[in-house]
Amino acid sequence: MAKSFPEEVLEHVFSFITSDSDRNAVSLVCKSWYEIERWCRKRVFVGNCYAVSPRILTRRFPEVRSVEIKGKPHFADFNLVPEGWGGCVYPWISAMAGAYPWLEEIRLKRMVVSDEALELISTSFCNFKVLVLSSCEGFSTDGLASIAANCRKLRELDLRESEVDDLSGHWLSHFPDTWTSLVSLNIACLGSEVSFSALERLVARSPNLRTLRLNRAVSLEKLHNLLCRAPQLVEFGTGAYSSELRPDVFSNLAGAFSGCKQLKGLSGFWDLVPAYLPAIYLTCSGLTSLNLSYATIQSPDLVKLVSQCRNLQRLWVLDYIEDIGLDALAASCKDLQELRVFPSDPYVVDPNVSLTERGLVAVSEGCPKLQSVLYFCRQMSNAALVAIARNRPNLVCFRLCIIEPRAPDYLTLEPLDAGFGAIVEHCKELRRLSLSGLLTDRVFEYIGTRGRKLEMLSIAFAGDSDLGLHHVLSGCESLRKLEIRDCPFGDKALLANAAKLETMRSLWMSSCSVSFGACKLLGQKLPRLNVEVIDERGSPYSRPESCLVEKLYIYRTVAGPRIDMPPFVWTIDEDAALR
Amino acid sequence: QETVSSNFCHFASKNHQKGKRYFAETFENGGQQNETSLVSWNDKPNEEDDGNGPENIASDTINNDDEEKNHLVGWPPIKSWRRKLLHEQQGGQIANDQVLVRGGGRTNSIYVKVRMEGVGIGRKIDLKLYHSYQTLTDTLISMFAKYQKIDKDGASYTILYQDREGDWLLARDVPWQYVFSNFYIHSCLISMFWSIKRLTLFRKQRPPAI
Repeated sequence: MAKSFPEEVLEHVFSFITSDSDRNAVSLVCKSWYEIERWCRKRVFVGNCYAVSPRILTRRFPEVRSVEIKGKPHFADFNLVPEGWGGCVYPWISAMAGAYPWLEEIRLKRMVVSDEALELISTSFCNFKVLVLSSCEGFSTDGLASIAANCRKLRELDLRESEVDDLSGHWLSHFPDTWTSLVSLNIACLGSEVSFSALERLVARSPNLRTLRLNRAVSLEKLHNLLCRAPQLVEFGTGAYSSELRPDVFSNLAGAFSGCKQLKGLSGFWDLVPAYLPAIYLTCSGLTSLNLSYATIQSPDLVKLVSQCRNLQRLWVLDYIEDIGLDALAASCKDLQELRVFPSDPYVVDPNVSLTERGLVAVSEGCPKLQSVLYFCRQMSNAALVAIARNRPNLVCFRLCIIEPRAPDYLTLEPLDAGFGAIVEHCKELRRLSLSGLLTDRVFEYIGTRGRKLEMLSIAFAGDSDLGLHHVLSGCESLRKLEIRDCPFGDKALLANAAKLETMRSLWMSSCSVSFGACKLLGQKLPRLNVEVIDERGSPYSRPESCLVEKLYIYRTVAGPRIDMPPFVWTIDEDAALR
Repeated sequence: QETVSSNFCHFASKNHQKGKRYFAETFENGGQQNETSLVSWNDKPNEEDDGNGPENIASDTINNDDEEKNHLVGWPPIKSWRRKLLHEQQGGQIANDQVLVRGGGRTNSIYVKVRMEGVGIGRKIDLKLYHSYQTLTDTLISMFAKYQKIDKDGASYTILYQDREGDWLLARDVPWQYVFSNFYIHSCLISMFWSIKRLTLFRKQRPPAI
């Protein structure tokens, strides 16, 4: 039947199939569909840069226009992955420079990107349009200058949360005056001042500019210059939002904001001075996204602000909002889908603000569309978690961080097993879960059996024994990423569920109870897994096999063992037995 | 032996100039300790901005002690750039000559952070509630007792505070009634450490008698 359908028709049909998993399914139907599909796949997502090699990628998919690659494990965000671990993008750029001259988009996350890589990007792809570097590092503003100077068709440059060696703000001036195609620019993570006049001119000649996120160095007084030149902006990030209160500055700013009728998202607000908040009031009714997580303003000002944002869908804020502010949020923002509350004083157990579990319960009651939660707090109870679960069965992402490790239910002093159990039971669509507080093996039994759609699970300071890990690995049908730190999980659970690891993208375990001997066994038995031991004390081969490893990163791969390992990473392969 | 003494002398003289008495002297004068204690004293206890001063010493001298973990790395899980920002924001509060206070108004409470060596999470206390070092110490012991087994009787513990210049100093050197004026401008990180462990370790490291 496949033969009777001309390839061109199939190709045309496939062009409507955009999701990666659907495309993968299509390619498995038969050999000819595999062939047709691979020739017309335009977009590829590589969730783990070591799961596949650049050569395998370019050989299978010759016509790719857009690539997204992720590098370091998630816990690298919290300093758990030592410096120099890997995730270098250069080999990918080098391979794609040859194979994909028409490449248009590169999106990277947690990768090490050098200036050389950026320069290679800028000179290899004549149609290059989109560069997104999310939580990346290893490059300087010199690399950005190459991009600016050479990428004539660039539309999007987004440096979100990357660590950039900020040599000077001069790089922005390398964008040629003839370049007018800018749609999105995010330089919020940069420290030094970019030339404001260059920025102004850039904004003025970019009629398609939709997203502009400035860095802290751009002062408040200058904002209206930019906003007036870009009234079509949809997303805007301010710089430092503070200044002496001056009526002319205020009215300029308020006027400029009110001119931006399409504004849906605001961010920035470093050093926010409450006196200037009213300048944005006129935009509030249109706002769907508000990131105030750098602003140290107190709850009365926050209440005034959020009460006006009736259409808010996403709010990121510091815990200064307090329970009282969350009550106001629950009352005013009925479209809220995502809430993130960050701690203002995270390294002290005692609270500095009045933010408790009650705030989250209130939001779960009042906001029927709430799907995604990230919440840092200092006390939690099973009762509150059960209430949240019952109120919001539509939760998709639930990340709770109780500041003190192993903190019990503060009312009953019991573990929080029942509470999290209720979350996984009621929230049947839950895809991502982060646990905290006092938890026994029981909570993992609930998660293993009820967390059927759970794809990513983060565990810290929890569990009593291997049984906990066993529950997770023997259940959780959809599990892709599992990251664990400081839990008493060890060899038995891992070895008993070794096959599960091939169905997942990756497993991270640090400060647990896994022995080197178990790692060796896993590496030998499962050739399609890379079992990597990270140990800064020296070679694990120099110690008895029963010694526990510091950190363990296991991931499935078709590319074989890494060839770029630093001295503190050891991989176990089939030959390990011979050592 | 010689290296140690010379290190010690270096410290002693440096600090005497400032009129401050450091950790070393306490122990020497305390009678329980001898000069081998400072083999790896880090003379820049304020290198780590978040107040890890004495803990640096701990990690040097107590290298292979797996049980005494210092800072909980990566907890709470906050991205590094946000950590830097928070740190800056808190430092900024102090630089503005405002005591770190919530709610109660500026003259009613003086909150200071307290860390205990070997415990990853800190606590906070209101100095105004205490009238003497003894009451302060008793409270701190009961606060941290759940994290580490603290022997209330025989063991000695010392409270250090960080003054406005960032130096770590012995709290008992300052008469209690002057505590507030000393603490007022720069927020203090009082570090309470478990010195008996340190004493024991020093004994082990003691070089053979000449």
